[in-house]
Amino acid sequence: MGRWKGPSRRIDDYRIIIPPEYKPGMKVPGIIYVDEGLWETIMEEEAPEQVANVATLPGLLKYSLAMPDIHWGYGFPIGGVAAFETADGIINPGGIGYDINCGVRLLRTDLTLNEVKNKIELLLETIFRNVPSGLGSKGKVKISQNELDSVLIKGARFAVERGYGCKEDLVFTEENGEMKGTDPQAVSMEAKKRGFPQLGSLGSGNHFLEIQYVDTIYDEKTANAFGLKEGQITFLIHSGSRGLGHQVATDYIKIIERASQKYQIKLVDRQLACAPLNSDEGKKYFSAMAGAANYAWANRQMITHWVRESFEEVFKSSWEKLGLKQVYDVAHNIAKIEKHTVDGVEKELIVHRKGATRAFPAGRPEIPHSYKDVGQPVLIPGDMGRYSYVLVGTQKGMEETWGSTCHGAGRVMSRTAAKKGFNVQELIESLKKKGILIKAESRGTLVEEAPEAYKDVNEVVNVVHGAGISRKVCRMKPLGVTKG
Amino acid sequence: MAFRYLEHTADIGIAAWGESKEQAIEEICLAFSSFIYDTDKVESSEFREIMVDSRTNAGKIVDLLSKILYLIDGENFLIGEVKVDSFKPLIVIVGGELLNPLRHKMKSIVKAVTHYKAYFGKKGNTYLARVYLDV
Repeated sequence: MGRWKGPSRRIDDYRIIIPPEYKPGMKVPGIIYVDEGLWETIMEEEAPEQVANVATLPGLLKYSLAMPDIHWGYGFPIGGVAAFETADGIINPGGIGYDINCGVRLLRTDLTLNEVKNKIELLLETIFRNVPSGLGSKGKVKISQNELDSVLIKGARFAVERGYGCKEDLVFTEENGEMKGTDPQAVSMEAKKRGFPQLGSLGSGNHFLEIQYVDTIYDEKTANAFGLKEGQITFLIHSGSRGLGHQVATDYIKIIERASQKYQIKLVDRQLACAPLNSDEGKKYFSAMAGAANYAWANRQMITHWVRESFEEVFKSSWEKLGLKQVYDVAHNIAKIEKHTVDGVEKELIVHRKGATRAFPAGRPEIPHSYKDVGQPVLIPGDMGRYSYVLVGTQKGMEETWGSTCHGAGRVMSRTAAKKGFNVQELIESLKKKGILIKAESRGTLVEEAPEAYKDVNEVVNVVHGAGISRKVCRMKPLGVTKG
Repeated sequence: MAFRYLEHTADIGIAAWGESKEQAIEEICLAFSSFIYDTDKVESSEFREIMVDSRTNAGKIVDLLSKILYLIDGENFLIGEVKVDSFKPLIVIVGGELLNPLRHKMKSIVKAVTHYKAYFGKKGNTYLARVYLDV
């Protein structure tokens, strides 16, 4: 991929606009939330072209949006946000991605850094043993075929009903961990067979489990509402819908591509294949996607349970006494039906977020009651050597980005280059010097995920905070990371 | 093997080639498999037939590898041998065995085979197949 040479104009310190005149078929402008420094990196690949391509989709409202962690993706860029009316809009599998509901969950504890710092290694080993992870990892949950259909319908509730976690966890999960509109029949047998043995496993690649502590508070009132304070131990879970979600995407990209031709939708890139949401193909894809999203929420719920068990084992106390409660769980790759105000009129939209996070402000009915006055927590994982953030949704984000913000750091270096450029032992040692212990199933995966292979999450977060589409609440520093 | 891996920021590509269509297809199947696990340790104790009905040549390669990915991930069936039986429709016979964690080493997870820059065709005297994988 070469450097992008298309036209762009800076609107302000945090936004770039790609004019609709740039290429034939663009119906609206592209807007990328980015500062000067990150823009230089982003132009190194064709992701801005993909922002322009998304602007050609039929019925796209207002703008083709991209967050500062934008990088090249299949069809849509990672970091892309696009909204269409449900009445006559489209649904686009490329706008959601292969890892449907890849997302993160944050747990908090009543433990402090001092109480945990000598037990990080033991904790990591215990978690590593209790949570299946790694290449070809299989979950330790045995369920029947019919029960898998229940997972697709009930999501995290299925796991809670099986004893993995508590009802309160559901309250603090986007969509309550149970997206409506699932039809298990819309999920192929191949997808089910891929997902069946993997339920309750972390996976590999960029998925991880991380022990952290809160090192900086930016907004005390909101942090208090989320139960977060300086020096507190937190825990972050990053995983998705495993092979089931990947197969749903593979199956429907083919089906929707044919539907694009059937409905005579002109595409500038075949990977932007889409179908009317209300067509048979569109409805079926939505139902299958919702099922995969629910699988991912059930998966993170089960992992939460084993993380709690691990803390109980190490600290010889119940998770309730340790205060190991859920702050929130957000999806990063999903399309959701939401109500938004468009030119002063409330409308029902389908909002695609691919490598982007919902970030709703105070007062929205989707937010848990105890967060209603402050807004929705937004969880932003960084790389394993730097930081993660908790942000909160804002009214400005609601108005400008359909209540969306960034999702993480975003890669800047290929996996091959990372493997060539870093030595595993040196990486482990350099992280250890920073006070971060690592445990990984695959040494190859570890070097691929070296901190330098990612953008600096601080820079990404500073853009969305500066632009006002979400606001910094606190920052966490890693203490121990397990990877697949 | 007549293949090489292609650089990509987030993912990885594979290009494979051969003097015939069949050879290029067989090469990319084995290159794909050896990206995921160590194919040397796989014995062909069982054979399976894969048929692909895609409209385009590039689509055939994407769909074929997607079906192989399903065999690996959904059926735990590792392939070590590939033979193209016909091109229209594309029918491929794969030989392999069920995953045995004691003997088989998994190397990478592939989420999906994508249509990005997917290609199958003749360049000069050589047939070339190319795909990018979401990993």
